[in-house]
Amino acid sequence: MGKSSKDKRDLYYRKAKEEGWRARSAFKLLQLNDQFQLFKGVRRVVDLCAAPGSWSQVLSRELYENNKDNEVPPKIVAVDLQPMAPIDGVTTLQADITHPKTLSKILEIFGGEPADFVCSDGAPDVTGLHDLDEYIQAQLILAALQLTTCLLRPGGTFVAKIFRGRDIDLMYSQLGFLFDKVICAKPRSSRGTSLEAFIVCLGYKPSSTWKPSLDLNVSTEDFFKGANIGRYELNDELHYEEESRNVAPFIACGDLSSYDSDATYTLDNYISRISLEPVQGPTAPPYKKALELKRKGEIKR
Amino acid sequence: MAGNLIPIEHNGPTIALKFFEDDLLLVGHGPILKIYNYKTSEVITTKRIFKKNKIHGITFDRDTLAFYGARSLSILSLNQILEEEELTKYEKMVNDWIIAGEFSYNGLEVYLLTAHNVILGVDSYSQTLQWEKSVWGEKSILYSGSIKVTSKYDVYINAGTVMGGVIIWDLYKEEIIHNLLGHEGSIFNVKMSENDKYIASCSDDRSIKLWDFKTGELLSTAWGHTARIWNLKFYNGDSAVVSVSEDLSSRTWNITEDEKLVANLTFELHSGRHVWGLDVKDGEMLAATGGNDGRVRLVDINPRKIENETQSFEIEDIVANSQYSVKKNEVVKGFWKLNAGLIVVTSEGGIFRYRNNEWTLVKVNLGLKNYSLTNGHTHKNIITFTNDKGITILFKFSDEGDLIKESLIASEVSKVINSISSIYNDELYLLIESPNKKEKLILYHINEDLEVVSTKFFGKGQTFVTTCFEIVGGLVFIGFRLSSIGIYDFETSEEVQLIKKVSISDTVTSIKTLQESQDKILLSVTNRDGYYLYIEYEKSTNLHTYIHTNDLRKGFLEGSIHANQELVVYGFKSSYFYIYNESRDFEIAYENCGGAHRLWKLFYENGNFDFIYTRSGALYIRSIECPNTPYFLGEGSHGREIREISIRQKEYKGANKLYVTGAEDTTIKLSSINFDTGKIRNYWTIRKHTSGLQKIKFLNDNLIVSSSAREELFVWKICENFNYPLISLFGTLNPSSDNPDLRIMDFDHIFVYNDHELKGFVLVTVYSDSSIKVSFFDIESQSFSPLISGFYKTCCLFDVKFIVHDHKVYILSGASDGHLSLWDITDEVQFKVSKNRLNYTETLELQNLPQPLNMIAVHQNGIKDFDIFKTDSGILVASGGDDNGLGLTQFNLNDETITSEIVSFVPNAASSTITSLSGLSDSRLLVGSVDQIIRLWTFKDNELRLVDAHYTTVADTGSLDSTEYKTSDFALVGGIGLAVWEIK
Repeated sequence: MGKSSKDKRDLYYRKAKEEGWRARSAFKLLQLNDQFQLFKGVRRVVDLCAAPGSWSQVLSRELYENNKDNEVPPKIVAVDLQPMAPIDGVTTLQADITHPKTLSKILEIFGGEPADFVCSDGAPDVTGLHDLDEYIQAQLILAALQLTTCLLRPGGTFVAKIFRGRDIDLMYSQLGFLFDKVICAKPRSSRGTSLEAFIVCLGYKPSSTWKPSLDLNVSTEDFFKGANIGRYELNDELHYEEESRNVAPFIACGDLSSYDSDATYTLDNYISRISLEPVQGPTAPPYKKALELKRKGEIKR
Repeated sequence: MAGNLIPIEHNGPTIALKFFEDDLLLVGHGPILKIYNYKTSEVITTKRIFKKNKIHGITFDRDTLAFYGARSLSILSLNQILEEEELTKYEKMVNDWIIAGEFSYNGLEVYLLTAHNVILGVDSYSQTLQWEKSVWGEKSILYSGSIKVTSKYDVYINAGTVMGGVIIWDLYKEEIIHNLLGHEGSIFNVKMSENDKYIASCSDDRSIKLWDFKTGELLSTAWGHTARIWNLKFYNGDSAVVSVSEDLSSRTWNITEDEKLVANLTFELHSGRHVWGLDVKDGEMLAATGGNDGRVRLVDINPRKIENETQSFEIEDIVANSQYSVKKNEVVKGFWKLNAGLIVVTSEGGIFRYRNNEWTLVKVNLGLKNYSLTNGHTHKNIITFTNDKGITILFKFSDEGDLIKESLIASEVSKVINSISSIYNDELYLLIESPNKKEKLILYHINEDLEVVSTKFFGKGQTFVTTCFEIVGGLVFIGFRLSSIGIYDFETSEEVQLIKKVSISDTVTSIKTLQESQDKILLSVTNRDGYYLYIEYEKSTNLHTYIHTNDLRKGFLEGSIHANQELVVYGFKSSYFYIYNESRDFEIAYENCGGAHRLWKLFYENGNFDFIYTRSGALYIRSIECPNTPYFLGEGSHGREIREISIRQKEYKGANKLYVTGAEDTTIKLSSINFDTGKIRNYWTIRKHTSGLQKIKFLNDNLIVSSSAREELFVWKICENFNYPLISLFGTLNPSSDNPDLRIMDFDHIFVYNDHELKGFVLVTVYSDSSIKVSFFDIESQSFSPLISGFYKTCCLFDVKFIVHDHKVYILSGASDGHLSLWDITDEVQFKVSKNRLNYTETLELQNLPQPLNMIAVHQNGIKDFDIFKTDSGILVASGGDDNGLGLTQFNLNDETITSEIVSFVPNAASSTITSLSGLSDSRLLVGSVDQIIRLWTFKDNELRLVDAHYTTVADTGSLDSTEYKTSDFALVGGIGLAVWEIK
């Protein structure tokens, strides 16, 4: 969330900076929590794909700050491949969520106890090829889910960012095998013009016949083999098969009187022209050098 | 379900391309394969290969072809493709995304590389899975990869990971050969050269890296693309690489002797965003590229292309064969291309001829020393040189290049700053201009014997400087700086009219006749700032009308050529010169000449161009010949999300209808669709909005309104008096604030009549800051005046419609809070209602929006689109929401107190946002949603029932419109691409 981001157009952007959140997505988790009471009774929570850390900030404020005088305050672990600035009460791990070592580290922090809540606000870089982007997004959710199945307690909650594209009903259907309730939730702080929404999975019900285990040599496809969640499994005949689809109930959350992320608010001219410094500076993109070369005029036609 | 929805045609991102046999090009348009004869543009066959998935790759072994895309695979023979109608029954499936596919050395197997770096071996005959291979511990996700089959046992897998590494592994040994590290970000393509010497890779860091396959050593890193690179290919005996990118360009790179990758050519090929597909017909060095715009471009990528097309001469080269001694600082000062050859004059008055690759001294004329304004008549072999004293020397050559006649004109002016020419009735006209404001412009008519047939004098404005002129229909049109055009009577020399401020600023650079009839003249005019227009001039009334206006948005616009009913424009952008086919929206050529400040001239004949210019004293001739393959295949559309479509009801040229699309790329396209064939044809890309389009609609047969952010709202007018439709800006609604984010989300209109004459229309506009405004557009003055202003709440309004019912005027809006709201504005609108139309009254005052009469919560959040249907008691409103719901709400407008109720609501009418809906005949409704399913609903007896649902290949499905043609309904569905549907 840089200084000249397009996100500027909605009020949540300013509000996030004013309130010290690292990204406006903090409001999304807050509104999801208002609707689903996600934090109630949570003692151990994992935030996946956590950088820059706004969801961890929310978890820290709502779970840690409110309970830090308790004998054992709730434990929060944030995992990302990218480094993250520290947050009070949050253990940050710079690690790969598909790696077995990451799982053992988290369990170590939790003292061998399972998690009550796993969330992920992760989104892959989009290419513009819609089918590929949806595939990669689904893979990211599956990667989060495979770790989740290894550490979530029965009855626990899983929340992940989704994009409501052409195959999202496959994801709804597959998650329906692992949870009592699967809901597609759209916080009002998430723009209506964006396909973004959150899948809220309540009441984890682990399979009695399938034992999840992370293995470096097992792809996410192979991981769910035998889990009977309706995923197509490779067969010698390679026959074409439509996987089952299911539409999850949709819930718009957040108060109707709260700010509308699609609306344009006329701010006091003076206020709107004060440029707020980002809470956390943007990380260096891979194409930094290409930008420099272009700026220097070294890239020409 | 009954098959009521029939897909007719699809235009969308083109990812897979493959040259096949002598003259075929296989192209995947979504799940559909088109086989073109690329030499003639003929479509040999169109076949659907997959049920849903897009074709991402095509490979073949002799006449067996394998198609893959997402998790789908199909192995088919050419005969099957050509002869069988239904091919989707052969679709096979694997459990993972297929990154690449290749036939084995003997063709008996197909290797598939999955996104988890696993190779699946599929028997090409039985089409069954034989084995799986991978390297231990390397199953993390890939964005790209390729398979290189070198021999029966040497098969290399080149895998591009998301973490910046390129893993090269040996398939049969299942061993890693190299893990190439150096890129940053995801690897988007990796290829091995034909002779296994090199590997080329590209990543999110926007560089291309060249690696030594044997040692794994990084040989070179090259930069040039300004966005992500999606595809690479070695060609020309592995001595060059071609790349395509998100930045819409294709670049070629040479591998030098010391194994460096060096940038060579750059082609700008597509519109919108992204070039995905790439293949090279190596022997012909012809590349085919596929864009998000749905087009295939064919381009000559011969690394020596520019050298082959360019001749350059230093002054020493020009004089080499002559007894002529070059003076210090002597340079080329003027030139003209004649049939007899290229004639050049130097700063010292040396006149040379270039013909049959040889320079000859024609003459030395010291009078032409230092200041020479050159003009000519190419076919008549006439060239003229004018000096600053007003002396014009004329030369006539024979077709063989001999100087056969000379002549001289002495103009009575104190000084000459400008001498320009034009051809009329195949005769040369020369215009001489003095810097002295009191001296008139002098126009000479010169015949082929170099005699002055007539001399005319024209007065001009004090501050004007002449830039171009055109003679037609007894009139002389003279273009000036400050964007003005003077119109003079040729016979009397009198000024008939002065058109001021054609554009905001800059210079008129060309005036060209397009059409001349008894009383009307149609001209095309270009302005240096990029603005161009067609002007219709009526001789009897001296009235001029702008019937086509557009902005090129490409640096300096220097002129235009109208050939084969297509407008070709040219000019300078930063350091290069461009030639662009504006009608068909593609670049013909560009030349890196160093920028606009130089002596230059473009000559055109029969599709061939000669761009002649000077640079650092040298003379350059770049000859661009019309290629023998078409410039592009497939019409295509916007290369960005189409946000709105509107089809005109009236037919255009037989079986066609005109339609307009507004897209995320900020442009509007005016196109036509033939419902008999499903073929579309684009006429213009209109560049006026500065942000992505929100809405665009036909109001009637010739008026269109479009809206976007920055409160932009424009009225457009269609003109059909020419061979192709024209569109011009007709009105602008002025913004009320300078908030760049304030979007005009939707609008609606009612026409206003004065007696029976159409006077204008009332327009309601709704905004992202919740404001609602009503204004009146007066057609005669082409201006808006405000009628009503007010607010809804603080949320974003998404859509609005006018309702005229029982002598009352209502506004109905849908908002991001899921409510439909109704206002009665009968009093505030001020025009009286009679018979469902409004009657004009003169005095108008700004009124406040009254309180809404009725509000009803239909959806949980944003109402993305709604349509209304009149009933006896009021209206039925069908609405689609971001909550996946489809609602049917009834408003009873006859009752004393207006009531509303939801009569039918389907919560999961789609599995994703419903973005658009359109009412059809027989109480039916066509609904589009982001889950890429088009659904047909009926609402007979006030109950929504699903009739049919069909998958659409258009992703980000965001807009649709329908129309009746013959006995069916037809629909256009837009998103990333455009599809044509018939609804039975």
